[in-house]
Amino acid sequence: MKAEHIKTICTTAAATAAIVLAGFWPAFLNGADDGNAVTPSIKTPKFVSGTVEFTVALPEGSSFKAGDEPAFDFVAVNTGDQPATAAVEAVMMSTTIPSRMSRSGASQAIVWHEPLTVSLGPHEAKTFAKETHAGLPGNSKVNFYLHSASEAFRSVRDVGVVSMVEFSTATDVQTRR
Amino acid sequence: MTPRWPRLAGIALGLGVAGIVLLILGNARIRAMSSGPILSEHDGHIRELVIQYIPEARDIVLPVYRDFLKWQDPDVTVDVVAPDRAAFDELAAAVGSIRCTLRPILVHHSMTSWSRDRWLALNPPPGGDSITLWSPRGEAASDLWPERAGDEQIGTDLSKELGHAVRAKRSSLFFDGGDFLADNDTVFVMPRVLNRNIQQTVKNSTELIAIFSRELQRRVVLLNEAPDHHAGMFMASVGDHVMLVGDPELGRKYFPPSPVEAKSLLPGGGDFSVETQHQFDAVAAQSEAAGYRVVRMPVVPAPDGRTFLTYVNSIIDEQDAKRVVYVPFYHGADSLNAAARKVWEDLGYTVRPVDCTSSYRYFGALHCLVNILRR
Repeated sequence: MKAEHIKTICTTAAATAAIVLAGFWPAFLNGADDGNAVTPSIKTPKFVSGTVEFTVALPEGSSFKAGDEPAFDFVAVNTGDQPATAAVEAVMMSTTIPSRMSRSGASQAIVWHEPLTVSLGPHEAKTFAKETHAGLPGNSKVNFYLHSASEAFRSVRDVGVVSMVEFSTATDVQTRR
Repeated sequence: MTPRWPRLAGIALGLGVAGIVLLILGNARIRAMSSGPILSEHDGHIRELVIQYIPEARDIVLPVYRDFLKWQDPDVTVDVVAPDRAAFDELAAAVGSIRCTLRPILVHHSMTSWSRDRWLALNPPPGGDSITLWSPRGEAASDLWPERAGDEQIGTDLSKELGHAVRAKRSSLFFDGGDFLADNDTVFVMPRVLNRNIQQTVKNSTELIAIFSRELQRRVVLLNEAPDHHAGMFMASVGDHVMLVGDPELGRKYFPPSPVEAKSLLPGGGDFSVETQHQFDAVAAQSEAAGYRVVRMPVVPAPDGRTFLTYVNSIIDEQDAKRVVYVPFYHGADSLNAAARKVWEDLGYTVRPVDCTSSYRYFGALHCLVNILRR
């Protein structure tokens, strides 16, 4: 082997190693953050009862204050090949913003609740609005939950209670700062 | 003309060298990022703990800190998270002469005084020495509660201040540190953690349990039913597979029968309803099903579901061969205090009482205010 060949091997090896390391180095540097690579957030919560899936939304641009009576937009979809009926209960609960010194928020209080039964054909979807006719408390965090009203599903942990929508009637956030 | 083979050999050699370098770096990074199992609540001597202090809460927390810190040995370091130096100095002056070391962690932002819920401590991995503080994705109501928004940063604040010894990691899940009860083989997770995460961060309980099993490296028992409060308000794992579980019916025996006295201790008096008793009994049953011997402890919850006269909200320490427990007590509840003390003593613990009269009306006691970083 000539000296020229050895020189070529060394310079090519150095250049190759430099290119590869330059390409991968940022990934190693960035990898030093403390993020936890678990699942991302679920944007639209679903409540599943048998083959029926519910999603709930507030009308676009909604904001609420004490005394308002919110309405919610429901979408129910039967993902099965057979007709299906889902019996759920819609529950709106509020939590007052606690004393700044408290360890945690107060217990939730029920503002409104109503049973809801939806029957759907195979792969049918229904959209409907639900009015609550219940005045919201002020300075509170409000959660709108669905839970199964069917005995068959009530004891199943994963369909127990799902928070579908969350909003607030608090107006004194700035003054609390 | 130069033949091709030296260039090809050079490329192969370069790829090999780069591969080895990346492999070494990768292994080093994996070692740096990994952690051991969640810290047990009752195993080992406490070496480092964390409290939070804000002057606005002085009347609530100082009596608790004074009573607790006076017992701590010289080998204990207490990291005091405070908004600024003046706050730290105020606490140091107020607790007076103590034998442990107070170390200021000055964060320069708003915060609460409740340390327990901010993070879970994960032991170093085998061969490592960095504790990992696993903080939740976010604090409940932080959008409306500026102090809670500040609390979200405290795991990172501690890591920045304590350097290599402590690493901060943020979870994608919502929880409070107080929603967990861990010992050396099991971690109990409260039902409210599932309620906060299902269809928000995970699809189902299986996914949630899988994440906790992986991160906490212990058997995970997700309770189906429990009082809607933090674990430390109604249960404590005390070693040898014994679980202390609160019992309102037992508490009733020692609670003042006079309505006036009862309401002076708790808003609305004691809640001894069948529904509330059922929630505590459900925790006892699930603990037994998980292989624990259950011992009941007097507790008196208020009807608000938040204010408890509780004696499991304690801190356990091993000092040489001695098992020591710091247990809350409350002025005006002497019979309850004495009954609770006897339960701990019957379990072989040396009891050191801590006055939590000033804090329990704010929904927490000793265990809620003190978080253990290292044992």
